[in-house]
Amino acid sequence: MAELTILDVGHGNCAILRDDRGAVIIDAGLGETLLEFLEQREITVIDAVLISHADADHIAGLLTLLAQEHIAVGAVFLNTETLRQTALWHALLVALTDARRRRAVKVHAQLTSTSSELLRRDEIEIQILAPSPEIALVGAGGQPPGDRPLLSANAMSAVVRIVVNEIPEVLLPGDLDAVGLEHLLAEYPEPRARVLVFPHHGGRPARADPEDFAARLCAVVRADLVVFSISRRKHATPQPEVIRGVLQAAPGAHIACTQLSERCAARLPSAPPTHLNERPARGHVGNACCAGTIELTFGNATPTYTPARSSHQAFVEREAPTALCMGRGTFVGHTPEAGEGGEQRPSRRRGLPVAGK
Amino acid sequence: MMVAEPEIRRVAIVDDDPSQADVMSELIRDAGYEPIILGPRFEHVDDLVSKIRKSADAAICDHRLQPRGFARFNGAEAVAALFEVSVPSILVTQYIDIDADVSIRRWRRHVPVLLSRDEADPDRILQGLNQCVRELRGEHLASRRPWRTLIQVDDTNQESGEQVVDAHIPSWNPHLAVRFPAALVPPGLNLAPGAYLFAKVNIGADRAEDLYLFDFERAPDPESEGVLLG
Amino acid sequence: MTTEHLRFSPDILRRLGEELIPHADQGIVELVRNSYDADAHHCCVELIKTEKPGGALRVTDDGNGMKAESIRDGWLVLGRSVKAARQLTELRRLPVGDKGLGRLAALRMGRVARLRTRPTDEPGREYRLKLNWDLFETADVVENVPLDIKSVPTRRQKGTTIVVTGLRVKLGRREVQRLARALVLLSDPFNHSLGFHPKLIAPEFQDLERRVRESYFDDAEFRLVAQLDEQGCASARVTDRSGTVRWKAKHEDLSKGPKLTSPLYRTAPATFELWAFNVTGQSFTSGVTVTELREWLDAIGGVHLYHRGLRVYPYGDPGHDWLEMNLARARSPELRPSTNTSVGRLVVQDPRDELIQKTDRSGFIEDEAFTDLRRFAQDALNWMASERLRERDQRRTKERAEAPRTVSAARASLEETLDQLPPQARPAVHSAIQRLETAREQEAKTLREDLQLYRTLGTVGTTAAVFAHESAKPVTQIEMMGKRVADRARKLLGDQFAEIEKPLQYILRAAQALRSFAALPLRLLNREKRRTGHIEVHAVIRDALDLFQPFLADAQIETRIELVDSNPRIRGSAAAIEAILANLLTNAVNALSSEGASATREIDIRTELSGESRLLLRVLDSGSGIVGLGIEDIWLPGRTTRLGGTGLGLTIVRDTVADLGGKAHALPQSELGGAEFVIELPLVREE
Repeated sequence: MAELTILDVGHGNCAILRDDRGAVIIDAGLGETLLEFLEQREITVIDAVLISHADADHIAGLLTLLAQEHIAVGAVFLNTETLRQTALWHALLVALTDARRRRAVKVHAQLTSTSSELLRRDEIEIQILAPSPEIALVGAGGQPPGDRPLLSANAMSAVVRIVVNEIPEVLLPGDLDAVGLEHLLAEYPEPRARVLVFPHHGGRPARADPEDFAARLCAVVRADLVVFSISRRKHATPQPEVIRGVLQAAPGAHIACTQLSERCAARLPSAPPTHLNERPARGHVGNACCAGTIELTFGNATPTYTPARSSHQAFVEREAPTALCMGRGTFVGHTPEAGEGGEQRPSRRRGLPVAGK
Repeated sequence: MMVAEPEIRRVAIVDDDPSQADVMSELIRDAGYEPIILGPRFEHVDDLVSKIRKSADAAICDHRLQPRGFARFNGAEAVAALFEVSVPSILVTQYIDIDADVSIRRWRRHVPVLLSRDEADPDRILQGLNQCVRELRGEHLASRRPWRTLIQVDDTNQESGEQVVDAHIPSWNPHLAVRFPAALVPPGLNLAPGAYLFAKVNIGADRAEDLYLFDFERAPDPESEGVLLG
Repeated sequence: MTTEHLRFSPDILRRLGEELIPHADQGIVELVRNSYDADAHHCCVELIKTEKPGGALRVTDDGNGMKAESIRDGWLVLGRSVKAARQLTELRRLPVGDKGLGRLAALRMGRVARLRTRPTDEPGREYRLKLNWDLFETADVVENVPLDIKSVPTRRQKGTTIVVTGLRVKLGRREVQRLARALVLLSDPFNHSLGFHPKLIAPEFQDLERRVRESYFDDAEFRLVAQLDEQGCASARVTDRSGTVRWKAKHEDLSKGPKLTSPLYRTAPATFELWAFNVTGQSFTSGVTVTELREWLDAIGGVHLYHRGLRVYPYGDPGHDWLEMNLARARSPELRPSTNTSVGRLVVQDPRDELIQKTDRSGFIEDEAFTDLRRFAQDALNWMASERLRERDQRRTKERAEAPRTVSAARASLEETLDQLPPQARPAVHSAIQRLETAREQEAKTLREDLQLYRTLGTVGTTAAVFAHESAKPVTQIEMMGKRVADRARKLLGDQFAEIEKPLQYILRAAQALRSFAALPLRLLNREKRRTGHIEVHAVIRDALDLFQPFLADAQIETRIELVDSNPRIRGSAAAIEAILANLLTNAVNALSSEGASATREIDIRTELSGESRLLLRVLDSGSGIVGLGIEDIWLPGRTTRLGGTGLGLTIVRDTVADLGGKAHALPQSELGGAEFVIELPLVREE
């Protein structure tokens, strides 16, 4: 028996895997939701924390997690980010130093496909599909051989796949972008999973066309459930083009956003929704949840999850007059790049600045 | 086991401006309570607290009580003192932008509900008092629960004659510095720009004005704690 | 029945030693303090192969040494308070040693510590003691490790040597520098009469000592000397570089208690001296450069506290600005010394034992005696600052009064010089000077106008803020009560409510508009918005438009915003973006209001991305465009085509955009018909 909880932390990612052996956390976004969850499930021992990449909405919660004296963290896995200069990154290094020295937390400065061996559990396998060790050696901001595009921190996102009894169940690709996807597919041409936590909260995949990117990703993953971990109030996610790509490549899939996007409903429901599960969710305040926190249970032939598809879709039907996942949105956003006839955007210098400055 | 709630019937109004107090009493009446206006002036916060305990079940306090010589303390201090003796109370201020950082933040740990004056309608008052009652029972909203976390000093400054600290609370928002009075930090902790501290903070807060900080502790100093401790 | 004893596990040694006093330099300094208490003149610290773990440390002095019983009953006893035994040494020194815990930390730095001491009372005799910490590690309790004091004949002079070998850690460059600084400053380097010379055998020490011994005191701009007498009464004076006494203070000028009282300082008698330097380029005595001075201040800057002749850690160390001089300077940088621009010492003998050192040797316990000592020094600094402020104000007033006189004097001297020229050259020079004068005159006139304008605007601003502040309450009151009236009337009147609904709505709408007008200046003044950080531009645009909405609606202007589908963030302050928008909006509203009756009254605000790292913010209006002014001239201060316009709005826009690292330009005609302003701003990466 095992569970994977995809927390509604607003804009950001955080998932917790629990099995008979213990718990593993994958990314830790801003705020208190993770801590509330751990308290509710009485989890005080965490075997490992896996960090896809060091953007604030994936690491800020780790800072607080490490500061909880009653929670024992066994190990933290994350990749080197030479170019990152943010204050948050520096604060995390301080917190890691403290945790390592005082509380014997093992800090692994690598989370690549090689790390999978260190993460082996019983019936559950935590696979790291990307980056490959060689790509990690190049590092964010670096140039892989063969005149390929520079690697951004997003492209370097660790891609985690949860495999239960040899069935690939969940794919958690951090903020993977089109460049990262190409590297992933070079190693794993068919990264199947029944559940996909869509990368970058359904935001833009750097310079690639959002619709193409979404369609390509969904075509190779072939998920039945596609989750968008978003905030209603920030960043105007998911991008309509992304949803369009998902609908096109995975027409039967259940699309579930943690919160109700402003794109789908101008107003929030006045009463708390009834379809949500009992787990903490950031969107509980102000009734901002759409699917809220999503919890998957494995162990049977088909995994089940809450909130159930039917009750979630009934909620969307009722409360989201312009729901993108129902094809109701107009899909007309003001996008200056999407010129007439879908013309190519002007070419620019390669690569992204990696750190926040 | 369910414990019966002490029912709120009378709500004390603490406001240095008599006409504002009258306005508030109308709102309280519409919220379904009996308003009781207190005055004329209070020397010490304990005087106010004991008067409220005698005459009312809850209170709603204006923050700025000093300008007209109404009291020698401010409303935030009064609400915090009332919290200590389990009287549910709401703090109201016209100038949330100006007061939140320093004079309110100092007491904010024990001020469950802060409303700006134009938000204070009967519904919000009702909700607010209910929230106070729950918090007095130890049931915090997610936005009010404190968690130990790492913070980083940005700078120290002076505001309204008081030393204040601007610090980042990265787990709450890594891009915004939050200001609070230096008096909250015990002496001896390093407040130099760039220094790290542990503190308990309600990192689930939505707005900066709802944040409170306490239980500051020394955090490792990456500069000086090098070889010898290694 | 047997008698039992409380016994200590050897772990206690770690607790009391290295855990209590973690920095090596502090422990070593304690050994040096012991030498001082033994009336040593010289004390030498040697570090042997300490760049790797396993090195050794040797401290040698020429003090009075110890007899066997002093070792047994003193040196080997840990944690005894020495207060009871306070009496002057033979050299009339007040003892500065501690409870032995610092010493313990130093001795425990290695695996073995050896003591060799030759007491002055027993010439020809040396006592030796060896502490092997490994034996303690394996012992059950501390008392189980036997220690032998050996006695051997010697021909060496009195003195003590302590050698610690097998150091557990290396001493890196940073530690050695810290130790060097601690030792140089330990014995008041500004005062050579103490007769105690600690020394570290290391190049860092020699460099630093040389630098510290350089004396630049004569170059101080001001020297403050404040005295605190036995009764707690203070006095102070400030002298300038020429040695002239500039200001003097009595106790009442310094100590400022509540209600105009001057409470006495309840602490030990003390002397506070401070040398304040002007490091920005005044002239110094021959040969001294600003760089030298800065290096010197870097090495010893700050106010050090000397207790009984020896410096007390960590007062005056980098990061220990115990008088909060840097904080005070941040408020008035011109007139306040900082730890980088001054050096000082507070000397206190403390014969009555009023100051109590903390067990971990990091300064004094902050009781009344210490806080009053600090208050004394801070009051002296505050007094000096207020005297300097007063002087500066007097000087400014005088300069303003004298300025015209200075100009006419200069002109007279010019005339004189002109007369000395050959006659044929005079007319040409004369007319050149005339042209210069006319141009200068013109410039001065513009500046005076600008100044007038800014002053007027400043006054308008402060008055508007007061008005907004005061009106917020009554306006909110109207709104709140309007809503109450509506709610109650709906209940009381039933169907008849319809008759008053409309007028009520007008009242409410007007009150809402008023409240948002009143909020405008206050919101713009909000401190938080001036704080620099990562700012979400779209959020600020939406907020600012909300703020202006009543104003725009009132002017019958339709606004549209088209924001790029992304969350662009800049590094700067919300106030900066607001300043840009507020001024561009005001500019657009003014352009439209001078239009008279035009068919369309529109303002568009658009954002788009330019590449991945820049944002274009466009503000367009449907006025008649930029006419009557050159497209570049619109940015200049005071240029306006509107009666009563200030001509400053666009200047502020240009300056603010430049502060954000961006560019601003204008197009005279846009697709809406009026002007178009394009602001280009650099972005921070999206997460």
